[in-house]
Formats: sequence, C-alpha cells, structure tokens
Amino acid sequence: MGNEESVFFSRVLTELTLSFHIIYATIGVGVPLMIMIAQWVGIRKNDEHYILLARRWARGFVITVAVGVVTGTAIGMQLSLLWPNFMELAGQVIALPLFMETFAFFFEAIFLGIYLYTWDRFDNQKKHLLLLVPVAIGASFSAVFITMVNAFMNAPQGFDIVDGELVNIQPLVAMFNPAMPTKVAHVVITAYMTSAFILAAIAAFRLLKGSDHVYHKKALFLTMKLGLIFSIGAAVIGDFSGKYLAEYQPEKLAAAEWHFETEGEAPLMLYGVLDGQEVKYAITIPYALSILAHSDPTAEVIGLNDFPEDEIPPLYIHYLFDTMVTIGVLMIMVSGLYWLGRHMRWRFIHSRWYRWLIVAGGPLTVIAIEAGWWYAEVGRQPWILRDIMKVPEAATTSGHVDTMLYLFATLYLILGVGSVVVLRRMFRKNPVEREIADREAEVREGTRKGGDHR
Amino acid sequence: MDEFLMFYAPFIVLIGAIILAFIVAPMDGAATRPPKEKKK
Repeated sequence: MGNEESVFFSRVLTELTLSFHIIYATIGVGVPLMIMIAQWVGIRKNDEHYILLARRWARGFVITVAVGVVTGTAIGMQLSLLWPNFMELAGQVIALPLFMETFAFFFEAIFLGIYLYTWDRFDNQKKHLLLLVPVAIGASFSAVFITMVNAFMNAPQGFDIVDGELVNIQPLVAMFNPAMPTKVAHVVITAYMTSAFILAAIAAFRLLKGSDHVYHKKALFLTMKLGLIFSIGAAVIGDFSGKYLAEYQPEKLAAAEWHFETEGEAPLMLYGVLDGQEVKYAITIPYALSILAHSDPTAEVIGLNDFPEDEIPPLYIHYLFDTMVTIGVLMIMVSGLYWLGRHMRWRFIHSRWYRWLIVAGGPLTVIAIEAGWWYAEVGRQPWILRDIMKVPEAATTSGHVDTMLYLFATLYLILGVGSVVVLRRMFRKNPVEREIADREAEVREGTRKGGDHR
Repeated sequence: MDEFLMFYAPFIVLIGAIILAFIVAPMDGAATRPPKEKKK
C-alpha cells in the first residue's frame, strides 16, 4: 500500500469511527440532562409518570453509554495509530483536555452506577436526584473537553515552532483558543436538542401505535418543549459561530456559502448547483451572509478567490451546512407549533401526519448532527492543524490500514445492530403500561422493594 | 461587539437555555388538555 492509499484509508476509517461514535456520544451527553429534568419535575409535582420517565430513559441510556465507551476508545487508539505525526505535536500541547475528558467520563460513570443501583433506596427522592448531578456534569464536560481539542485543530495556539522544535508550550492557552467557545457551546446544546427530539420521537411513536396513555403525552410535551428551547439556543449559537468563522476561518465560511468574491452586502445562498463559480437555482437571502458574519448588512465578507487554490475546502460542504441548518429550522418550527398548538388546543398537532413528523424528527436531528460534524471536519481541509500541518503529513505510512477499516466497520455494524436489538427487547418486554400498573400495585400494598426495578 | 458574541455569549446562551429548561419543564398543564371539539 502506498502512502496515498494509507492516507485515504486513514481518512475513511476516521470518518467512519467519528460518524458512528457521534450518534452515541450525542445521546450520552444529552440524555442525562433529560433524565435529570424528568426526575426533578416528578419530584416537584409528585408525579410518578415523570419519575418513571427518568427510570426508563436511564435504562436505555446505559446501553448507549456502553457502545459510546467502545467507540470512544477506538477513536483514542486511532488518533495515535492513524495520525502519529499529528499526535506527536498535539500530544505535547493539547494533551490536558484529552486527559480531563477521561476524568470527566470516570466521574460520570462512577455516579451513574450509584444512581442506577439506588433507586428506591432513598426515602427522600431529592437525595437520589443529587446523584444524577455529577452524571450530567460529567457527560457534558466530556463533550466540553474533547471539543476543546477539536477547536484547537481549527485555531491552534499556545506554542511556537522554532527550528522544527516545539517551544513556549502553554496548555491553557491552547485549550482556550478562539474556536473553543462557539464550538463547545454548539456541540453541547445540539446534544441536548438531539436527545430531546429522539425521546420525543419515541413518545410520538408509542402514541401512533395506539397507546393513549397519559405517560406518553407528558413525555411528548416535555421533550418537545425542551427540544424547542435547545434548538433555538443552537440556532443562536450557530449565528455566533458564523462570526467566529468570518474572523478566524473565513475560507470555511466562504466555502459553505459558495462565496467567491470579497464583497459587502453579501447574500446567503441556500441549496442550488455550482457551475464553475456561478451559483444556479439557489435561494438567495440578500445581506444575510454579511449579517451572519459581522452583524452588519453592509459588511465585507472575504471570498474564496482570496485564498490559494490548494487551501480551499471541498465545496460540497455547502450542502452539509444547508442540511444542518434546514433540519435545525424545521425542528424549531415543528416543536414551536406543537408547543403553541398544545396551549391553543389546535387539533392538527394530534393528527397522525404531525406525529409522524415528530417521529421523523428523531433521525433527522441525528442527520443534522452528522452533517454538522462533516461540515466542521471537511471544512478544515486540507489542514489537520490549521496553517501548521496538512492531513497527508499527519497520517501513518502503515500498509495495513485497509484491513483495520474492514475490521472496525464490522465491529460498528455489530455494535449498531446489537444496541438497537437490545434496546427494543428491553422496552418491548417491559411496556410502560405494565410497569405503571406494577408500581401502582406496589404503592397500594405498601411493599415497595428496593433496588431491583431496573 | 463581535468579540463578546464569539467568546462570552455562547456560554451565556447555553447556561440560559439549561436554566430555562428547568423553569419551563414543570409547566405541563397543556400536556393532557384535549383538543378543541370540531365545529358542527
């Protein structure tokens, strides 16, 4: 295998691993907060349905965490094996958040175990809820620390290279790079958003399948509300990301918008087809790119023609950006209409087609997450470390990356299918109606048993 | 202004959204309210 081939297979394997891991990582970051909110509402309103929501979500969450650990370990291993030259440099500068991510995960895992095995062991439910706080914090901070590393790849700082040697290494400066705030906040809030819409899709699906239990109605209303809040937040932080890109990575923004000439009053292009440097059939929103980039409709936005040809990212990222934004806006509308419709008692939000739309929102938000990550990573090309190291310079020269690709693809297939099968069986064998009836019977008889209801 | 939007505002929005989620979550009166009857 030649070096070009090993670079190609290294890229494919990394893309495959990250694309698979991000699904479980997103759920792993977002669901603990959803569990916490549900349990908190249950305690506050003394409503067993919300407590049961927290219990059932926690059970499913454990499966996704288990898969996330495997794929997360694979990423750690692949970073060193596939991109040794990158890790040689990054390992000296940005290793701190990589280690802190591991500690955040341990923090989460330890308290998750205690939380799961202490249901019904506290007379005061609030004490049990407190155990979930470190789980949610650990999960979110795992995302914070690992995204700091990714942000560093986009805006490296905190070191100097003198005669090929790394000097003046400042890990904290590297962590708190200019890309960090918008990237970290966007990753975390979209994880919450995606988790809320996945859980909403499950509740809507149960209602579509004939269960009219109030449990599902409460679950749907709660998750759609949370989805609305976090999707609006994601859109606002997305706007801040536009300002960051315009300042620090203008080629990424210009490529996403097919913006070739540096000009003021720049329009935003949605969809369309590229013919040379001419954009055809696009929906054009006047001044919107200038507003996105600089909060000023007349501001100048740097175009792609100002950059060397070999430093321009692939232009198909335009479609990735549009996919992410379109799904985000769609979910704001779907959840906003649902929330409004509930208050106004509109009939159509109870219709089958609207519930199917909510069900579709689950996989759609996962597609948006994938599109967003692909945009973030492909948009940084050709660099692995912007302006310092290009992707081919960082890759391994090993001749066996293709074999690794096939092995890992098989592993992810087994994990993906396995986790879906386990989750389906887990909830099918123990439907919510039966569990509610069992718990009500237990409460009536006053014979609550401790710790064996998971 | 852009400095504030790039470095501080993202965390303000994130933390604000989490706090808002906890405030809004218990307001579930509309969750079980039946839809309006069809006009005859």
